[in-house]
Amino acid sequence: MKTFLKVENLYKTFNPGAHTEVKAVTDINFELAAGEIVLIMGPSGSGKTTFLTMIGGLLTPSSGKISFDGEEISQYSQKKRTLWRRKNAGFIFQSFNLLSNLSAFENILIGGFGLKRRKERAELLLEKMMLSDRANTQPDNLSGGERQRVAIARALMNDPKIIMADEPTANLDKKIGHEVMNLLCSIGCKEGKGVIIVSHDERIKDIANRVIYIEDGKLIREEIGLHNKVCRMKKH
Amino acid sequence: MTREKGRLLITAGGVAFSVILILVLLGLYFGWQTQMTRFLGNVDTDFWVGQKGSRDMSHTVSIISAETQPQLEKLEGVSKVTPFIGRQVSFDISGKEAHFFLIGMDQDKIIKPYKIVEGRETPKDGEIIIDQTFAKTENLSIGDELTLNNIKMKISSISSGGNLLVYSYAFTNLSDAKKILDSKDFVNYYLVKTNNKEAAKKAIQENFPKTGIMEKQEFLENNTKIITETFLPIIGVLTIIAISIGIAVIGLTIFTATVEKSREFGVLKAMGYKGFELYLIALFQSVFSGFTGFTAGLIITPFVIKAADSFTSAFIYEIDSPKIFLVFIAVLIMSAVASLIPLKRIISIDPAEVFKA
Repeated sequence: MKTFLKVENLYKTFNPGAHTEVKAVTDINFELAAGEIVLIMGPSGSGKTTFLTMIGGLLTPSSGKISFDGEEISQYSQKKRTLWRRKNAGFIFQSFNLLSNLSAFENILIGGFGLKRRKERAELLLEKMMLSDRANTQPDNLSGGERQRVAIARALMNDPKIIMADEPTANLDKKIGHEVMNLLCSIGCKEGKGVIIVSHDERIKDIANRVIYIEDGKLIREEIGLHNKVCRMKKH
Repeated sequence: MTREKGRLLITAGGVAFSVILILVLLGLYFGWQTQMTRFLGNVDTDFWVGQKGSRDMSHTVSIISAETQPQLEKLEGVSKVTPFIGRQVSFDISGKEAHFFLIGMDQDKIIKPYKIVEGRETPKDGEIIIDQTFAKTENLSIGDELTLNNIKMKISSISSGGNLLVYSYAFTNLSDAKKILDSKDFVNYYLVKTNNKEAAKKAIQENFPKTGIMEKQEFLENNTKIITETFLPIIGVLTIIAISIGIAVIGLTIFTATVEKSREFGVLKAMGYKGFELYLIALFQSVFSGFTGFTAGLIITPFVIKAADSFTSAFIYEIDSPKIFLVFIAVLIMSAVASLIPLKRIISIDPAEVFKA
């Protein structure tokens, strides 16, 4: 598997030098290959989300390097990072973060930038997420699982190389959480995208190729190639 | 916001109010401007010749000797001279003081009311034509009598286009006007028709250095100055207030919506939307609200005018399509300015915040 994301000696310190200084991320090294699903685990406030937002180009590291396809994106300007995100990154949030006044279909549609066949692509993703009959429904009238599937479809709209999910199953019950996990697994396994999931949910270990543990901003442990049940099942 | 009916209703309502205010003010202004020139514009003359220093009929009194007429008629370039007698008259109607601007009509009807809406075109001796606004205000109709300077005059006709807010025009024949206004030996102006404008002007200036000579258009403009100089600045200020109300209503609603939807804007930023693209959303919402408000205002304004017209006869309204289009452009500008209010907020939204649960 080809590595396309490389993180080297990554640091993030909030309010440096002040008495409120917080070292959120300290010296993390990390790699992600196409089709790989990585689960980031750790206690609350350990720096998982900070790490994810830096990889996603939403937060500038204090030091260290983040390279994507050989290019150092951590040195990009704000504008260049915005353009990089719209082309290469898809985000899935804990609280879904769908636009409340838009229908399921429109929420997916807004994820497509400059695509020639935006509508066709959004319809295809709706179908893939088994949401065709909910296309015109607004988020408030969708179930938690449906909302998260809309969010996943939105993240996939621009066919990004990397999907970043922050606690994607936290607001879902066991059954729906399992459905979402299957979907994320399929995105990694079948579509060859790199998937990074930040979660406390132990069940996600079942679909991850790798699990890394972060505590006090430091990567303390990494389990490689342990769990891949769902993926394997799907492959067979 | 375009899908939040309550918010859209409030914004569109505010803009509609602003549009109604602007349309009414502009309509009144142009209505009065047209009204002021209706009678004077209808007078067929090349020059108004009056006492030097007299510029209009409202602010200055012009008195010229009646003997001047034959001398004027002899001048080079002059083809016809018509005396103009007109002045404000106060009188009593059922114990209440009333007044109008009485004008003497000549036999050739160079001086005549703008339009006769009821009755005869030409008043006979002892007859008077009054304006319909005056008739309505004083509850007068054809056949009623008025006593002017101890002379009884019978209303023979009702005219329109002669209401000038501070007074209205009334017409008698020239001999009655002379009697009522007690002006046997003088007139107020001479209306001079020419066959050679330049020659006539030069001859009048040379032979009558104590007279002032004004071209018809100049005299018209002098008489509308009361509107342009008095009302225009007031209308300008009120229009600015109306536009400010529109900007404030749209701007504050869009700003509130932006604050409420900060998280959603943050999501869009995280997804890769540029600040400018997010601003376009605010601009679209703003323009949509403005357009909806403009349409509502345009629909409601005629009803407001009708209501106001039944309340006061001084409500003279006139607006045409190009001016309505200008108001539409003003609403678009208003919307664009309003959309700038939440701009700073949109730019400062941190997309990383959306990761906070």
